[in-house]
Amino acid sequence: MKEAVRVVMADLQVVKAPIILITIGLGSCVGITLYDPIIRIGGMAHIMLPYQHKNSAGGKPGKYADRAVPYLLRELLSRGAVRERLEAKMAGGAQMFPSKGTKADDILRVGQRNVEATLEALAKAKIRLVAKDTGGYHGRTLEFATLTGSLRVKTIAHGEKHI
Amino acid sequence: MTDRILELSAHQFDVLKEISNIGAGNAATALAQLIKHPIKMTVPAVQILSFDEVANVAGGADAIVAGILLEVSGDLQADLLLLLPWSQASSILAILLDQKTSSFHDLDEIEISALEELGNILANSFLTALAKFTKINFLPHVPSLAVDMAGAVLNLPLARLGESVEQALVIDTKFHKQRQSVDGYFLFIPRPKDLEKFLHNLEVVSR
Repeated sequence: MKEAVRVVMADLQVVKAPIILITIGLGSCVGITLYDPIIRIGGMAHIMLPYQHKNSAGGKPGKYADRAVPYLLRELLSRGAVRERLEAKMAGGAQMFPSKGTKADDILRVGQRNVEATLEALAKAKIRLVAKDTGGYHGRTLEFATLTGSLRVKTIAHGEKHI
Repeated sequence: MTDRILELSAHQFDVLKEISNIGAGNAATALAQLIKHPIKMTVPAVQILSFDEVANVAGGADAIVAGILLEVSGDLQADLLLLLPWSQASSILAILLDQKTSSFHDLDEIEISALEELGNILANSFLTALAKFTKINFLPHVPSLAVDMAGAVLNLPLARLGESVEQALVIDTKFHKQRQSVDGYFLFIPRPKDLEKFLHNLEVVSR
């Protein structure tokens, strides 16, 4: 069993191969991984919200899409990764609670907004997205193998895939 | 570790526990009528937990749970989430409907409605008790059900809270039926902007 590091809600971690990065139970949250396949270093964040409000100070950088992506990028670059080589993968952003046709529906779509904000942050940081498994109505657990760059997406009733 | 932004005084804890127990009593009465079985409900503890700890009380982020979410408006905005380990939700469902429960990913409309109704009854009983003591008016909206990994079910209500607070108020709820007891968890999550009002009104409740 290879060593694994768990990324909890709103958390962010960077590790070297062969350590595996794991995040359990993504619903509306988005899991993002950035990986440099040459030096085999990878980072993962468990994003809860699309943007940090301008007037809210502090908080964990991993919590917001617009902070998590640049933060992960900086961490990776400082450890020798090269931006042009970086490969991003993302999963999650589901809608866990079905909408009931009320005004609250907009908030239920936080998953979709998380996905959009993450894509936007990646584009802004000029990082290439190579794979994604987002949306739907179910939870996901992620295991990122820094040895190969493979992201394993597990669900409890919708099978499992490697992206 | 996150900062303990959400802090309750001993008095606020006591008041909340007492109110929750009264709410649970009302809920048990309503539930007993529905299932035609005597059932008791108690609240052994009220706690403030970090996001990650919340998932742990329900058996871990990957444990299968039923979550029934109700948005609350009125004098303050909040989310109420009833969290039941799937094994427990499934036994409650079997009692409610007097039939074998389908697999968790294949629930029929009646089973979904029954669980939503369960959430409705419990939420309303709790809110009625809370309103009476705190003089805050609550308007619960329609319940919505998700059955999946605990972490995934918790994402949404915690994300709404997550803007400025990293903890939630968790009310442990025990259902006792004959010799059996079932553990459930009730999360009351006032929006950050209304948190102070809620805590203030709790503080001034005299016992």
